[in-house]
Amino acid sequence: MSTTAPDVTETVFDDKSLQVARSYAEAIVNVAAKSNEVESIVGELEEIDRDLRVLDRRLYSYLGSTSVPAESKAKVLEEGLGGRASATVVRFLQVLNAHGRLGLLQAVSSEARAIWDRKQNRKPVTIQSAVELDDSQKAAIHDKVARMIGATPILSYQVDPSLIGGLVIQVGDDLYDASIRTKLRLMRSRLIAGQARAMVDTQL
Amino acid sequence: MKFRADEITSVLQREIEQFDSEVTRTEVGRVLEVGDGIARVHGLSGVMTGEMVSFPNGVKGLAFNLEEASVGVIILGDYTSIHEGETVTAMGELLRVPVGEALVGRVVNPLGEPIDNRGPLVTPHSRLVESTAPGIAGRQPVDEPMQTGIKAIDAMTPIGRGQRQLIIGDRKTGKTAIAIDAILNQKGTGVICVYVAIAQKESTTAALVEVLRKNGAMDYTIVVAAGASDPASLQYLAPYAGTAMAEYFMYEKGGATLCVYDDLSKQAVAYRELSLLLRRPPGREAYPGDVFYAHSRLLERSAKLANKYVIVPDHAPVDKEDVTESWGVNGKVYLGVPGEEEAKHDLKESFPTGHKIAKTTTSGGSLTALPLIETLEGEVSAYIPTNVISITDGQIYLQPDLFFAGVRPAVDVGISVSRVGGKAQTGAMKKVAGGLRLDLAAFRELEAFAQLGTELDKATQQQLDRGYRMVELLKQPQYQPLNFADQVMSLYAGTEGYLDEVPVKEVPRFEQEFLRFIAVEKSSLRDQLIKEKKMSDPVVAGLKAALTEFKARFRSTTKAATSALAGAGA
Repeated sequence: MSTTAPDVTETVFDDKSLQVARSYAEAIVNVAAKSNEVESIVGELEEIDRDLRVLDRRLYSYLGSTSVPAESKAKVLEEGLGGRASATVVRFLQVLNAHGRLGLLQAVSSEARAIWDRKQNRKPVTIQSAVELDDSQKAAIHDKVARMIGATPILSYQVDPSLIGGLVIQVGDDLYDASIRTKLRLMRSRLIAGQARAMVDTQL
Repeated sequence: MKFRADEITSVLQREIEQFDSEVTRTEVGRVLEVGDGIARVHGLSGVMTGEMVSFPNGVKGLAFNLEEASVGVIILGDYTSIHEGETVTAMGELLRVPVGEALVGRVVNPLGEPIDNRGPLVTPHSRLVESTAPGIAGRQPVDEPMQTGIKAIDAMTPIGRGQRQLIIGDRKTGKTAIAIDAILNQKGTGVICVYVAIAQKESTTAALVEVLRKNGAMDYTIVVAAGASDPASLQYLAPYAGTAMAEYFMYEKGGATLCVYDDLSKQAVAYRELSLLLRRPPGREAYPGDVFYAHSRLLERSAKLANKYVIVPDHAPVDKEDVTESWGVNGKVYLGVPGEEEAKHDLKESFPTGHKIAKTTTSGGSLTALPLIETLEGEVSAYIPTNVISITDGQIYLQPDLFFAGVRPAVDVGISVSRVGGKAQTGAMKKVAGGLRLDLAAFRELEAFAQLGTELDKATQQQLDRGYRMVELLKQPQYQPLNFADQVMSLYAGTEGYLDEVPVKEVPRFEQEFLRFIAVEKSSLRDQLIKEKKMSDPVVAGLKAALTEFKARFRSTTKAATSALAGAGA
């Protein structure tokens, strides 16, 4: 068990804490499901996590630190969130705190979202395009992707001019690449291979 | 090299016109951490173990550890330009290397990329780096000799095609020299050699390639080199890649191949490095638990493949064309030794006349392995040496004491063995060298005894003198492999006592001049021996006559020295 301050910098992903975070995430989703308010609770968790990380990093590292006694953090949570967040969320944060796992908030909230999305048959999909897409294009993509993956896509759009043209769609670990950049790269490697063959042919 | 610009342009034009690409679907992950030639990747949930992955800078990797939340990847190249968060793409296939005739004469890295500055390598064939070894039915007993051209080895620890013979010894005892001599001796035999240099100094490898080239051995040799400065991943993969390149000739061409792994101790060290970095649990000497398997699955791929036979009409052009399985008149293919029996039976039963049995051209290939192991201070009971000794079919021990006493190759006959090679020895060699090992062992014992200064009876003294001369006869300079017929004739002279009156110091000169005498004046005798491969009565008689004739001549030129030194021992 790690005793150092949890890493809150923009690392890709901390897979070591994933297992622990998953247990907490499952617990909160199950609790929320009983009162039928998973969507709002997961949303609230995400919001708190985002606010803390973006707006008040010092508070975030304070809460995440294991050298701060749990009682004083509990007080901060009670006073800071009491009344403003739903009772279930505050209770959950208190439980996290009591177990010294507040530092996992980011992992827990994203894991909770993933679990809930899976239950709702929704899949996060990233769309990269070279230029900003207009609404009709986005709607068309939404329909196509939904049919392709057989689930409700949660689309997030990114603009990357280095693609030159075309689209790159990522669903989970699967990457569907129809960008001009990749086509050019493919063409380049094929030309090099062809040229090597031609060179040997002329040598013979 | 001349290029015609318009030709290149037309090739390019054709390529572009035919270029057609659809949406590519790939599996991706992201780099969690990278360092020491290892990357941990999140994602890649469908990746296979041993599958190739590609990093954005073009470097390839190999999925090695599949864990619940991440994949451990060994990076096959420069890892310093890979960053955290970068996308890793699964390539959808296991690691393959190019193989084929185009590789012969080339120096390549373990990925099959040429590193000899001699242009690109174009071959339509490729093979999996890790492939399974042939099973029991696919093999047949080792029965053909793999001549190393070294008297001490061909006589006492003979190697057969398909055998795995370990060369083990301390540093600087001539392990590589034996392997190189064995490669040089394959000239003109059609054997394809693969020399795998693992974690050696680039200068050493360069010098070695030069030796091979000068001796004309690069015409049939592939050098696979993973230098000391290459990543551990490449050093680990090199022997498997080299084996895959040899396997092409064994499986697809029915050819005989010889693979030298120089050396497996360094490969084990590279594998230990990778395993520890991937946090696999360390075992004895910090090697991972499966280091035995790493070597056994490599050496298990050495084989003498079973011959395949078909029944063909008498007029079939078996000598001119490649015999394929479709030639069989009854549609049957007979596999291995039991298959040959069955084919003979079928031939007698169903095709009494006008037919014969023919071996298919692409069957019966072999892969002989010469792994090298470096010991520390002669310690053969260390982990890796014991492992590899138990895997191989015999071992050649090289002793530093012998080496520095001038006995080169420094083979310790007492503890060197070959478990299967005896069956593959030619009849002539078997006859000449049959008792040699025991005689030499007895001589070593006597020699130790004689050092006490005891008075010796005549018979013992004679045995000692014979021993000194045999030891001298078994010495052989580097890069001078001998044909088996020459070896047989030399050893015959020694064991039959023709050297007894020759002073010990004169033995090498005697041998050299005798072989030249045979080559020049008695070449028909030599040819007969090469053809018959056994000591038939006319050969023995001819040899005896030749030796007597030569000895008379030899003695007359060194009369004075002979009388002064005869029987003086060392």
